[in-house]
Amino acid sequence: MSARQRPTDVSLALTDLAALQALSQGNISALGILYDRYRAAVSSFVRRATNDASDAEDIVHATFMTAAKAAATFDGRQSCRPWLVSIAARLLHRRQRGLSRWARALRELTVRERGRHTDPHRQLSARDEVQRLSVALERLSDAKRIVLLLAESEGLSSQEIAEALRVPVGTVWTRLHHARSDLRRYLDRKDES
Amino acid sequence: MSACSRLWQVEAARDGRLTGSDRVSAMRHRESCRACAAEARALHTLGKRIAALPEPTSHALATRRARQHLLTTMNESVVNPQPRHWGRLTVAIALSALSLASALAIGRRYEPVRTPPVLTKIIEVHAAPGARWTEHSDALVARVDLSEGAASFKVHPHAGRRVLISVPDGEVEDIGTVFEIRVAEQRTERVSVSEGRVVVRLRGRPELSLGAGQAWQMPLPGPAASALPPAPSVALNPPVLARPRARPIARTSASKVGAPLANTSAAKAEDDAYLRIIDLLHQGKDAPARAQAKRYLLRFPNAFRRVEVLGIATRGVNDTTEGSAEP
Repeated sequence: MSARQRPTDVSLALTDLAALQALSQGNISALGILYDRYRAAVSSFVRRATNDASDAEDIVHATFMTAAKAAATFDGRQSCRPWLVSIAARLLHRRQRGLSRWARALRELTVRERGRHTDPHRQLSARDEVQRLSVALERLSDAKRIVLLLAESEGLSSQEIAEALRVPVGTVWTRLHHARSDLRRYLDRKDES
Repeated sequence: MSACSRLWQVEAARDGRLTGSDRVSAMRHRESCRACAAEARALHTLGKRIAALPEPTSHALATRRARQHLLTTMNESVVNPQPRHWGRLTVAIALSALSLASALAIGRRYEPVRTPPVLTKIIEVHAAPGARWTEHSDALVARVDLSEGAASFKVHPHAGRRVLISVPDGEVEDIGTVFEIRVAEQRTERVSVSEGRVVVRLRGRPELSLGAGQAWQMPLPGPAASALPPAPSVALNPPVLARPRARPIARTSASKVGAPLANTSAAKAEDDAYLRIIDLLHQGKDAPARAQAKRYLLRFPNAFRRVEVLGIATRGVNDTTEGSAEP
């Protein structure tokens, strides 16, 4: 039994920095260790940040591949979760700026409109607070939603978000402000109704 | 509740837009302003609600499949690295236009510009006469296969690429800069490190890490081995040299090798020998200089100027990166 437990013990003992160093030297098992540790966190962020659930797993996959290739650039902090989430956010941001954003926006609009008018169950369940918040988040633009989630859910500072998305910090502040305003307006309106 | 004119400062302070005394002032104001305090609570609650959203669940099997897919993709990218795509259309067009403009500028005597090699050369190989080796490099691994003979390696600073020396019975991975390997009869006889660190992996032996000044030597059976002290797995510098196996370079200098080895580390003798080689070169006596260089290498295998002397000893023998001259 102890022999079977050994790999787990080793993977638990390995710090994020050590795992990324091993990865930068070509040790692919280290990528598995990091995936086991942070897949849930990255996947959770990506699935909240994008309305297109079908893309979520692709983004998670691309996040870990990008991290593997950029492992040598990790700054050595205790946990690489913010770093991974930043990579995911950058990929989402880049995807959003790509040529396909128009097609995606159209698809999202269609889905939203369809959901709003033809799915009574969703309307009913929207009374639930969590569901209401989720729906409100979905209604934000990708840019605003990503910034808001990075700040409130992942605890990144405005400066860190700006570096992750490679945008000016002023842009982050603007998006944060508008994201909160939109969200509160939507939630308040729902409360009144 | 009337709106406070400083309400905006609550969010600004939360996001780090307010710093220093402005922030302190805003925080102090918040304590006495009900509107600002309510705004702070509202923002805090909103943040907590977002952070507390339940994490979407994934099926365990799907997760395992995704994990396997990730590792497979990563493995393929290591084994078969794709060449870097500059391939955006705009870049291609820009480069084409630039090439065309250059061609027009130069006129009919346009000669294609030699593009630098994609992979920079990071291993400098100094092979002794008779050594057989080949070099293969890709984006991730720089590899030299040493099948026979002795060679020293100088690894230039590099990032992200592994440096492996394959020997018939294993491999030596460089984590440093200068080291030497000797192979005979499909077996690695000796690995010595001058600078940096290497990892030696030989069949049937545990992995071994050698630092600067350390050497590993295969214990030799028979009479040749009896002349050696008990071979430790790692010997500190100066390493004890085994008598070279039957090769021309060894035969020509066998009598020199029999000299007391204690003297070989003497810096003065080493300097004198080196100066003699240089002197011969200055006199234009290349052949005697090469012979002297070979004797120098046998006497001072870990000498400070070993790389330069190896270059002199092998001058005209192996100037290419492929194959090598037979003795």
